Order: sequence, then structure tokens, then C-alpha cells
Amino acid sequence: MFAWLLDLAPGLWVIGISVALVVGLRRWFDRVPWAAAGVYLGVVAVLYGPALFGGRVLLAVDNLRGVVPFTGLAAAEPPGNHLQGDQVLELAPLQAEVRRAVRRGEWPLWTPATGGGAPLLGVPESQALQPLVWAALPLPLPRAAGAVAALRVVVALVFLHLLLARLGAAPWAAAAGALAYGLGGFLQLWLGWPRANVAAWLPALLYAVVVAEAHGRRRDLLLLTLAAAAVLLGGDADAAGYALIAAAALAVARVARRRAAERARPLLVQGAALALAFGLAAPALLPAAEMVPRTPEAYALDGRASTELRTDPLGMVTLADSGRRAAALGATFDRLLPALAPNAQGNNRYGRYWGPSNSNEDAAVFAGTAVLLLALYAAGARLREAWRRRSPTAASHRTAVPAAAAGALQHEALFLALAAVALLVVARPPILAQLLDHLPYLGPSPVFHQRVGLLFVLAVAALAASGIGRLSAVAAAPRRLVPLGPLAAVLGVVIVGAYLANHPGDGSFGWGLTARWMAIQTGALGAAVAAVAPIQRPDRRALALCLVIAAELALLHGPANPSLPRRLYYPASEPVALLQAAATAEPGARFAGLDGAFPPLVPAVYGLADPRSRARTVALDYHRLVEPILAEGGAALSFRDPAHPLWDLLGVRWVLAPPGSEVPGLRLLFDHPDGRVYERPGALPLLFLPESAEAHRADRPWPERVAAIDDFRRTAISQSLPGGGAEWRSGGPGRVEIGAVEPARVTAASELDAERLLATSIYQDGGWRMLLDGEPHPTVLANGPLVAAWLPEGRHRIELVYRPAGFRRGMLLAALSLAVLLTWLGRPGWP
Amino acid sequence: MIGSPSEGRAEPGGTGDLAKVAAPPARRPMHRDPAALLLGLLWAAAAVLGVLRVDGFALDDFFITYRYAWNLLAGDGFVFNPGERVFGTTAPGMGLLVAAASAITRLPISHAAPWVSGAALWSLAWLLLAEGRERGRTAEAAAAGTLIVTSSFLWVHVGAEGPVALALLLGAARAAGRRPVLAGLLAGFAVWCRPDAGLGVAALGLLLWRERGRLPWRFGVTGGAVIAAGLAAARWWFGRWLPGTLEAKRLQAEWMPEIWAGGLTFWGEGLRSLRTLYVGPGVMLLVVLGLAGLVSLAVLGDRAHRLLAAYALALAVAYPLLGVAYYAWYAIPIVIGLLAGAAYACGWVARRAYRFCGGTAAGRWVAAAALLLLAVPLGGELARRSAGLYLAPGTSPRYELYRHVGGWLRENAPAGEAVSYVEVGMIGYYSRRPVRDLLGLVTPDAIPWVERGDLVGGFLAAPTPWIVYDTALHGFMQPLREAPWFEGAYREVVHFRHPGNGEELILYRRRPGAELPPPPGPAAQPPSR
Repeated sequence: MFAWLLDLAPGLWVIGISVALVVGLRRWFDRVPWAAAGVYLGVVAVLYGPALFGGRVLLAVDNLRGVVPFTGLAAAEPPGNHLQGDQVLELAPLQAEVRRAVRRGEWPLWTPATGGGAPLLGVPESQALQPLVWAALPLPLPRAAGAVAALRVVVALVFLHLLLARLGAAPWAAAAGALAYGLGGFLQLWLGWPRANVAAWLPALLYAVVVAEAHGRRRDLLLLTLAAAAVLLGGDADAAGYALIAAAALAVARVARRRAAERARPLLVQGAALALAFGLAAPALLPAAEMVPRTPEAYALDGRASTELRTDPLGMVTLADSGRRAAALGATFDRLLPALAPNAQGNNRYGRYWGPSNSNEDAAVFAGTAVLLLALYAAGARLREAWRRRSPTAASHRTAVPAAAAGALQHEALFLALAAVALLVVARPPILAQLLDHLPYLGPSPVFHQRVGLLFVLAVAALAASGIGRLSAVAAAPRRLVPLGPLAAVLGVVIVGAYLANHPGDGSFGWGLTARWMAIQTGALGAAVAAVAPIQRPDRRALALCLVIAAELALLHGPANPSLPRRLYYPASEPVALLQAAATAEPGARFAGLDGAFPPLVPAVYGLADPRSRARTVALDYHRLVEPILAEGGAALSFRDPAHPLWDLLGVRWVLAPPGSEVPGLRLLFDHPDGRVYERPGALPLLFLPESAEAHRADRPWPERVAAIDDFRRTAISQSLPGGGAEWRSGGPGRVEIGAVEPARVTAASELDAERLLATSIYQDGGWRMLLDGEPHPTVLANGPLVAAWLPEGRHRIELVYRPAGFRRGMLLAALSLAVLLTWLGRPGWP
Repeated sequence: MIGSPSEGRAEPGGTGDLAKVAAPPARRPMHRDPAALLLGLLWAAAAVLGVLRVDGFALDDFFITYRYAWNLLAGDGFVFNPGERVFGTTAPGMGLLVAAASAITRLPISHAAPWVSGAALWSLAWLLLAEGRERGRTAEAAAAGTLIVTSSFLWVHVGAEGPVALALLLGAARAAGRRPVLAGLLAGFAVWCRPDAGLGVAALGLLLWRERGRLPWRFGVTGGAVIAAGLAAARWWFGRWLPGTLEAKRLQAEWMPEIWAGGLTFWGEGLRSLRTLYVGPGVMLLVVLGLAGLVSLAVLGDRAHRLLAAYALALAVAYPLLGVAYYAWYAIPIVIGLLAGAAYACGWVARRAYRFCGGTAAGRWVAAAALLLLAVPLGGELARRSAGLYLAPGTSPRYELYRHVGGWLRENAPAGEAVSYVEVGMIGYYSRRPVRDLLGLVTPDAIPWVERGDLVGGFLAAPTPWIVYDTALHGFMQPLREAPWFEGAYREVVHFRHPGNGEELILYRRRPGAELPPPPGPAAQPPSR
């Protein structure tokens, strides 16, 4: 009855937080005009209204459709964005695990829901300590998705507005820049991903740098520390690195305006604030620093970097070969094109994309046509001034009007340089491609740091604000129109040409969409010129440009994040309900989908433990362990051959198979049109006692030996054996009874007539410790990377607890940083 | 690390140079400067410790030179296999030096060689410190010297001639001002140690010519005479002017480019191996900083700095052009140059940061932070590797096996019975038996077969009673073992297995009276080139 009230909750929550943010900023920092704040909230309401106020879900949950046990789901209209599969298959399940831990009042350290378990804090994609994610914790996950997305946009809009205003932009010019960034390609196309956290906080970080340099007040430094920590906790190390580089560049540019003797102090203070931010974020950063290098993805990237270096050092082989050179340069051009015409190479959202990667990846660099026009205008003016100042022949030009007096933004040159460098990285010409794989601190990136497009969008947005400022300094309409009109015409021709030249023209992609995109982009150009020419008052002109920018970007990027009906949000079909009930009755038992059923990690949303996983949430050791039963696939680790003994070792009690499929050797438990549930009676419990063990040998890789074991009840491969022998055999009976099974704690009781090996199917990343009768007891590895321990005879209480060293060190650092921060801020009379 | 404020102010304001100062401050001589002496002592201690830790750990190829030296001391002449005057070492000068060191110290050749390497590394550091002090860049020079003396990459290549040749060249550069004849002698002997040092001699000659505006004839005549004497001696003793290894290594690069990178991929393999074995992911930072520092030293540094830069850069260009296969020790002079260049580039950044902050006390902290940001990704891995070398040195399991095989052959194989294999240094050195190198480095008549990619043919051209087979190198030796005649002609005699990685070496001996087919091809004779 009051469901509609609940549907309003995300929107009201976002409005509440946004208003509190604006009020707080007005009180302690700078004033965001209420009108601009209203526009920002209005834009957010228009874009995400159905999710914020209408009970819909801002997750691409229809990516589940067609997969067992969701085959019966009816399609949504309009359909979801299938490029956003990660959100549903990986990010939301991790979020569900984080929320479960927080609700239990625990740190989100470990999830048993994937693989042999995985460190939640160690997987950056879980965004376990991200403030924007925590801000939406009071809302249930389906409602929180929209709220988090909206908060990301609001935070980006508000802080970029403040930053641009601080740098000299008039209110509506600042709003135009903020809208260009907030509705630009990077934030909108990556809105559901962790890197959007970084994009949201980046303006706050830059704003904090500016105010900290200008005033150095305690609250400025606190803001700097918190913003930097929020960036670091974003869950995307690459993007955080780009943000910190931009912040460092701005900090240096700011202090460079001071007298030399006054530069060191602000740099040191800001550096200290940054160091404290690292300390505060350490509880998430250190576990991630331990886990990420162990993932197959990290190994693959390292291998790529090494192999490319060997076979094509600095692109020299490519440059020497005419065919490869032409292909590389063509790809470089294709990567640049989306900055101008984001859909000239199609769009995956609408069925087909023929660009270099996918339309999310490539078009994230697009900031808007009108924005580009204004930015080019500012860049041209800047370059012209620089040339005049340096020209030795034109002495009179040396007294040219300073940039600030011409209405330009402060640090316009810095933004111009940022845009140029970012675009160069995005274009990735042959030599650069390899250099990028070996950048210190950042390291190799899956997309060769193409996501530095974040800085391009930011810089172009700032340049657009600068362009509006410059236009406001030109009183006569014709003088405004003279440079802008031809520039717009050229841009328009190039854009139309790009669409026409790149269209396949074979009927595989409709002309209607192409025409629509061309119309939007050229229309934005025309509207921008039309707004600039006749409107005399600069503030009204800027407001008109705001509307043009917002309209263009909303039209182009709005469809990227459709809200979907709530019914599609991880529906509980009957087989799933059965599995949930069975798993509750048998703690520690696992389930797995077969033949693509129930994609890995998705069962986490339902509280089911699944030994399958995905490439970013699993360690290479575990990947090696399950390799014999891995099916062909990409990012997901799907299993095959359910009769294999490894299924027993991993404790897979139930198997969900497509409806009608036969799984030989397993007992059919439940047959339903959504899927068949089979039972595996041979599954081992989470903790068990093998009858014999062989010692691991350094010269014989364990994966082969473990794969050769046909019954894990009988044999295990142990890291070490009592007495250091090569083989061990049980000297008497024994039993182990599992007690509580919590994510980061498992208890059991053992009763043994002789020393026995306690084996488990829990992945040991180094963080699992054992307490035997309350005392620390050494653990070993058994059957590859799984936790085990040698238990003495007699009755014992066993407690396995997960306390990763990285988290402990991180908490220590965080406590230390917090103490320093409080002492610093509380120092009387400072500064 | 960042120099004193007075040093900072002594520079022309913000010209951006890395090494130049307007007026080098007057300083005490090195041997009277307690700080320099202390640093020298610390480096000496590090070098001695390094020598003790890596004693006997040289790479297989260096044992080729050791065997030349051993045979010389044994009275068999400067040869690899007694009675065969084959120019199969690129480092005859190093061989002579090591032989001399062994004769003087009574240490075995393989134990004397690390002391020569240690002395060379210390000399390099000391020469760079002397040069740096004179240019007002003591901190950078100290950092460069420390990086060099403690470099795990250089210690892994203990016994290599590269540091010796470079130390001789830098010594020549330092001496050339007042003692051109001594400089010529040192430079000439550097070429004896390593022929590519000729590039360094030429560069030094050009530098001297440019400095003085006239030909450095004393240096040129002396250096030329020493080089000519070396060439004449090589021609007289070996019957050829230059080592035959150059051709063998060119053929390797052509035969298996996926294993032996050459040409355009030469430095690709170099960077990859530096990344894997030494610098880690920060390899590009070392290259970028090192090159920036080297270029600046080449333009603005003093003579030894310029020579270091010119020699390293010339080698970087020359090796890909030569078309030889990449071997890690080719990179030694370049790595030394990069380490020195990186130290100077870091120093430049720190000094720039300091000046940017007006030379204030707080500016020192900013400079230190900038330095730290650069040094951590590079220095962290270098320090870790160096610590690993000092704390837990180790050698390749295969080399341990080679030593065992060599020892076994010396004790069990009849004198004069030859053994065939593809890595012949250690087995040859420890076995004291004739060795046939199927890759042609010390066996020139195998080279035509290498050119064909036919190791079996190369073996059959002159079959030996013994064959070594390595399971880890089966790509090379497998065709031999799988040849249809092998089973009947050879039998397994002994099997060596490394307990660590399970690598196995098998020694086969020819069965008495076993017949072998002639080498394949249009004729029994190897193809002529």
C-alpha cells in the first residue's frame, strides 16, 4: 500500500544528502548558487527519475535474462544496456556481500560466496569502504544502485562547479563546465563502475587542492585528506592514479604563482594531507595490494607487458613494417574519433559497434559537441596569445591582455596540457603503447590507460568554461561570432563526414540512428552558436549554453543508463529457493551451475556459496587448482565435468543445470522449467579429515598432483608432513564436526585417536589463522592453495579466523593517520 | 642527496643542465677527503662482500674465457681445447688479466676472476665519484657509484669483461689530460678485453680532439699501437684478427629469433630480461631517467662522463646493427650508463625542486619528497634484488649440474675423450676434456651447421665419445637424441638430477664399435661459406 513511498525513498535520500552537501559547502567553503544546485538536481531527476522515484532499478539486470534460472523473465522495454553486464554479474553481487557483512556488524573481509572464498577488501571492485556506497547503505541494494549513481553525478557536478568558480568562472560558466563533466562520456558511460567513484571525487580533490593552497585552513586540509581518501577508495587504482596526477599538477601550478620562497610550505602541507589520505584508505588499499597481483588478470597483464617488450620493443617492429604501421596508425585514429563523434563507429547499446574496443570504452572520452566547440575556442585563443607573447617580431603583442583579464580560467594552460596529454594516451600511437605498460606506480592496464580519458573530459569541461568566460569578455556579437561560427561549421562538417565515412552502409546498421546522432551533435553546435551570437548578457548566454550542453549530453548519454523494472532484479525462482533452503540446512556446502547456468558470483546475491568465480575475484593459485574442470570461457570461471573429484573437494553439494539436461551420476533433486537441481552425495564438507597424505615436492608442480587424486577423502597433498616424511597415513579414527560457518570465521570440534590432517576447501591467501582450543596453531597448505592444519590427537575446539595481514597493517595505519589528523586539526592556533 | 644550498646557487639560474656548474668549487684531493675515503671504503667492503657471495657463480659463457686462462697457465697456450688455436673468446684481455691474477694470488681461475670484477666495479664507482666531485655533483656520483657497486645485475655477471673494459676506458678518459700515453695504453687494453671497446676508444679520441682542437696524437698512437699489437697477436696465434664468436652469434639470431633476439628485437629482449631479472616493472623508468641523464652528461658533462654516455649510447645502437643475438652481458656498459644517468637525473629533479621552492629549508623536504617519488619505484626493486644477492646468493640449477658433470668427466672420462654439448664453458672448464661446441662458439667447423639449423649434422661432422643431454634444453638436444642411430650408438652412463627444480642432465657415451652415419647434406663435408 505504501510501496510508492518506498519507491520515493532513493530520490528523497539523494535530495537530502545533496542539500546537506550544498548547505555544508556554503557554510564552510564556497557558495554553490541554489539555482545551479536546482539545475543539477533537476538533471539528475530527469536522468535517473524512474530509479529514484519510480521504484525501478538502475542496474542492467536484464543481462540475466536468457540464463538459467532466469530464462522465463520477460524482456524490459526499453531494454537494458548489455554493455553493463559487469554491474549485474560482478559488482552488485560483491556489493551484496559487503552489505551482508556490514549488517552483521563485521568488516567486509571475506566472502565465502565465490571460489574457495575471496578477500572482499582485497577485491577493489567491491568498493567496500567507498563513502558514496556507504551513503546509500540505508537503502536496499536495488534502490541503492540508483541512489549511488545519482550521488556520484551530484558530487561531481557540485564540486566541479566550485572548482571552476574558484578558478575564475562566472556562476553559469561554471555550471556549464560542471554539466559537461557530470553528463560527459566518462561519468555517464561508466556510471555503474567503481571508476565512476573516482570521477565523482576528482573535482572535489582538485577543489580541495585549490582551497588548501589558497587558505590552508584546517577544514581545507581536512577536505583534501577526505577527498583524496575517497578517490583512493574508489575501487579503480588506475583512475585513482590519474586523479592524483591531475591533483599534483594542479598543486604545482598553484604554488608556481607564488614567490619561490613561499612555495614549499603549501606543497608539504598538501603532501602531508595526501599521505594521511593514503593512511586512512590503507585498510582497503593494502589488502588489495596483496590480492590484485595474484589474480590471473594481473599475471596476464604482466605477461603482456613482458612479451610486447620482447617482440616489439617500443613499437619499433611495428614502425618498421609498413602494413603494421598503417594498421597501428589507423587504430590510433579510430581511438581519437569518439572524442569528436562518439557514435560514428556505431554503439553496442544499439546492437553494433565497429570501433576499436566497445562504445563504453571508446566514447567515454566524449564531452559534448558544444563543449568541444567552446573548449577549442578557448584553446585557440590561448595558443594565439602564447604565440603573440613569444613572437620576437611583434613587440607590441608582448603587452597582450593577460589571460585572466580576457575572461579565461586560471590554469587554462594546465587544462590544455592535460587534455593534450590525455588525448595522446587515448590515441596510443605505437611507441606510446608500450611505454604505457611500464609506467611507474600505474603499471600495465588492461586498456593501455585509455581511461585517462577521465582527465580529457575534465580538462575539456574546464576549457569550455574558460571559453564561455572569454566570450563574455567580447562585447560585440559579430566578434564573438567570427571565430566561433567558422569553427562550428568546420566541426560540423568533420562530424557529419565522420558519421558518413564510417557508416557500414550495408544495411547492418540503420541510418535512422546515425541521422539522429548527427542531428543531435550538429544541432548542439548550431544551438551553441545561436546562443552565443544574439544574447548580449554574459550570464544569460552562459545559462543558454548550459541548457544546450545539458540537452545534448542527456540526449546522447541518457540511454546508456536505462532504469529497468524491479521484477528483473535477481528474481527468486523455485530452484533458487530450494537451493537457498538446502544451503541454510547444510552450512558450508556449496552449489555450482552447469553449462552456463547461474553465472558465477550471481548466486552471492542469494547468499549461496559457489566455487566458480570471475577472473578479478580469484587468485591464480585457485585458478590452477580448478583448471582441470574449467570450461572454455572469458572472465567467468565456469565448471564442467561434475563427476570430477575436484567437485567433491570443493564441497559442491548441488548442481543447477539447464531444464531437461541430464547429468549422469548425479541424483535429480528438483525438476522445474527454470532449471534442474541435482545432488552430489560425494561432496566433502568444508572441513574434513583425509586418510593419508603425500608431501608436496618442490620439483613437482602441485596442480598436476592434485588433479591426479581420485578421492580426496583418502589422499591429500600437504605442504608438509609430520616428521618431514614423504607420505603419511592415518593412525586411527577421528571425526570433525563443523559448528558455525561465518564468512570470516569457521568453528568446529575434533575428536581424534591420533594426529590427523584437517583439510578444507577454503582458499588460503595468507590471512586464515587457526586457534586450537583458543591457542594459535600453525596452518599448512593442502591440495594446492587450501587451508589445512595438523591436529593433535584428542578432543579439540577448532576456530579458523580470517585476519589478513594487509588489513591489520591497514587498520594500524588508518588509526595512526586518524590520530595525526585529529592532532593536526586540533592544534591550537594553527594555521 | 640534494646538495648544499651553496651548490644550488652556484649554478646558472634554471638552465636545466644536469651536470654543469659555473665554477666548480675548489676541493681537496680525493685521497685527503674523509667523506670520499669513507665512501670508497664502504664500496670496497660491498665489493669484497659481493665477491665472497658470488664466488664461483659466473655464467657459463665466462668459463670459456676461464678455460683459455687455465690452459695458458697449464702451459697449453691460450686455447680452449689444447692443440686447437680457435679464437672463441671475445675477451682475450680479460683472460690474460684473470690468468695473471690467478698466477699472482694462487687462486684458481674461477675464484680469481670475481676479484677482477669486484676491482673493476669499485674502480668504476671511484672514477665516477672523482668526476662528480669535480663537477660539484658529489651526491649524484655517490649514488651512481653505490648503485653500480651493489648492482645485482652486475654481480650476477661476475667474471664478465664489460666492467673491466669500461673501467679501463674511464680511467683512460681521466688520465688523458695529463698522461696521454697512459690513457692510450689503458684504452688499447680495454679493446683487448672487449673488442667493442673500440667504439669507446674512438669516442675518447674524438672528445680529446674536440677539447683541444688538435689531434690527440700521443693518445692515438699509443692506443692504436696497443690495439694493433693485439690484432697482430691474434692473427699470429689464432690465424684471424677478430673472435669467431661474432659470426656464431649472428647465426644464432637468424636461426632461432624467438630464443635469440637480434636486430630490432635485440633491445626488446634486453628490456624484457632487465625487467625480469633486475629492475622489475620500473624498467622503463630506469631507461627514461637513465637516457635523460646520459644525454645530458654527453652534452654537458666532463670527459669521463661524456665518454660513458657516448660509449653506452654507441653500444645501444651498434648491437642491433651487428645482428648478433642478445646476451645479457652485452648490456653491462649500458646498464652502468643508465644507473649513472638515472642518479644524475634524479639529482637534477631534486635540485630543480629545491630551486623551485626558493632554496628554503622547507624546499629541502620538497626536494626529498620528489626524489623519493622517483626513487621508490626504481630503487625499491634494485635494493630488493641487491639485498637478495648479498643475503641469499644462488646460481642456476643447471650450472650446478654442469659443475657436477664436469667434475664427473674429469674423474671418469679417459683423457683426450671429447664431449659435445651446446653450453660448453663450465663443462669444459671443470672436465679438462676437449669439448665440441655444437653452437660453434669455440668450434668453428660447427658454424656452417648452425647456419643450417642442423645440430645433428654438426655433431655427425665430428662425433665425440661423450654427449651431454639436458632435459631443460631439449629443444636443442632432442633432435640428436631422437635420431634413429642414437639409441644404438650411445648409452646412458650417468644421470644428474637437481633436487630443487628437477632438471636433469644425462651423460651418454658411445658404445664401443658403434657405427654412425655421415652428416646429412649433399656432401659429407660441411657446406662452405
